[in-house]
Amino acid sequence: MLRVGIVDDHPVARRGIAAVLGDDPDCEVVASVARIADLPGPESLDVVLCDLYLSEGRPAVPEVRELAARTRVLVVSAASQPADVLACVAAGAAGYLTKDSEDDLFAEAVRTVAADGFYLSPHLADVVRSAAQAAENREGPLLTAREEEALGWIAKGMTHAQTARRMGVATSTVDTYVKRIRARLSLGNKAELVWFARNLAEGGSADPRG
Amino acid sequence: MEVVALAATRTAALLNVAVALTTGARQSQLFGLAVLLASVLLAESVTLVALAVRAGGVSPAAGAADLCVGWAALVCNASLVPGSDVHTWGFFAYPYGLVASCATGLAFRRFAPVAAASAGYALVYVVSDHSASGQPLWNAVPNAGSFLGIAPVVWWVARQLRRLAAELDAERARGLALARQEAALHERARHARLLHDRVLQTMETLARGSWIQDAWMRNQVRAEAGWVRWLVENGPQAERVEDLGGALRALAQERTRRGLRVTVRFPPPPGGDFGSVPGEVADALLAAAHEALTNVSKHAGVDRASVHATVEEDAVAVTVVDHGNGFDQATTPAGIGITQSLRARLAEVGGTVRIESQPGGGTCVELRAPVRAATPDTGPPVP
Repeated sequence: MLRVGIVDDHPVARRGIAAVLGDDPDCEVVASVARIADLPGPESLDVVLCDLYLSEGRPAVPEVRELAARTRVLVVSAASQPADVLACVAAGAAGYLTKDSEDDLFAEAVRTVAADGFYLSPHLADVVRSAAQAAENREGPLLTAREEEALGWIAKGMTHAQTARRMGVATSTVDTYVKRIRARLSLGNKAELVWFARNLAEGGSADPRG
Repeated sequence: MEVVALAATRTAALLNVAVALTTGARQSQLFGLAVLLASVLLAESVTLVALAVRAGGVSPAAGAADLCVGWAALVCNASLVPGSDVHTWGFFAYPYGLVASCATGLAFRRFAPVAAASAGYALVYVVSDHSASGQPLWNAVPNAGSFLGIAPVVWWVARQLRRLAAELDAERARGLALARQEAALHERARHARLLHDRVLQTMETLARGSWIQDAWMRNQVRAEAGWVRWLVENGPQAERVEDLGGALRALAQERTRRGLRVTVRFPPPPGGDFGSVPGEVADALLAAAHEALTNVSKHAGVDRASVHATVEEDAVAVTVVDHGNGFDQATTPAGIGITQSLRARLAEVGGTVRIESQPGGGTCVELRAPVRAATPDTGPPVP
């Protein structure tokens, strides 16, 4: 049984997520709170689903970083800026999911993260790919062609199995690509990616020449 | 700034006249006429400055008029002073003219009239001096030379100042525009946040699970929640449905109301900016997406699908993905419904369809079309 915590300042959203996960026999929601500080013993939880905008009027990136040091964090957020999404992954979040995602994606994401995996939602794949492509103009390729291709298919809504079929590789190979993409996001080039994502978010040209 | 420079130089010029009248010129037998000339110069200067204040600068016409007055003053003044007095304060039109010629540098934007005016001043001076003193023309040349320098230098300085001022103005305008844009974005973000926090989260929660028993009602709430999310994420231009993004969103909403939950996603710009997609290409893609979603409803055995659209260099791609039944591409006869009309629709705009499916593994329909008008094949000839 997976012990799950929920952090969201919106009571209706909290209740909704709890209901979705409550339908999953493998999940038990043991804490549902408005603030990270109210979580009872984060270390004892398998996964914490954490909102990115917790009434502070800024993305809770520092809080996510702190929490990610103690437990596995799946960021669940709604309208979010690409830069904020990348920043929270760079801060150690093990996945990112939009609040309007289908119920089964919630369960899948929680399972993936609980198993120490990285949940690359289609939305996150789109953001990472755009940022990497923008950064490529300046920095040279940040992802291999195959990694970028995998990102592209995942962004279009394909499962890892569908992506693998489309690329003519094994599903485990796609899993490996996703792991590598996470490593690239949380190490080394992250500053560049975040910078470019911010540029994208502000509607400016991501091309430094433009 | 120009006006201040004009007023200052003109005051200095008139000061020369005042000094002349209170010292050297007093001995002149024609003192009354000298005072009259000085009064005319004063009146003309005041008029010039007043005009400049009103117009925010010295107009070329005013500059030309002022030039004529300056020349006339030289001629008149020369005729008032006896020969020997021409190199004393009695000939006050000379120092006055030197300083007053600054106005010429301010009045004209091009160099040619400034040069011509300066040369004119020098010439008038030489002739006046010669006629008054009777000395050879070349005696007056050194003094006349001064006229050649002043107006051009003033002209050059004024030009540099104007250029700097224009740059400063442009910079300030840019800053203002940016600030306005920033404020608008900020306001939009605030509204979006309010809408999101107070309405959207509740609607999205209601749209999932079993809070609403009636499936039809749940689908309506889901469709409206999708619309509000679109509004929150895209701002006021979300109302526009004429571009491909808006049309796909409207299609998704329509299907959601009827029970197929369609998620539409675009990458951030530039990938998610469909401004470059021609109308007929958008129409073809939309019709094909329509059909692909209908196929999901009919054959996939699931009630959800996702649509992704992106502009990639010179092509636009719309992908419809479901995680449903799928089919065996080797045994299912290509043709009926799925491929034929999809391919025909896309072929009209030079596009292609790629379908990927496997029993139990879902289906992916990828529609691609060139963004620029289809051109005849210019690739290398096939051997």
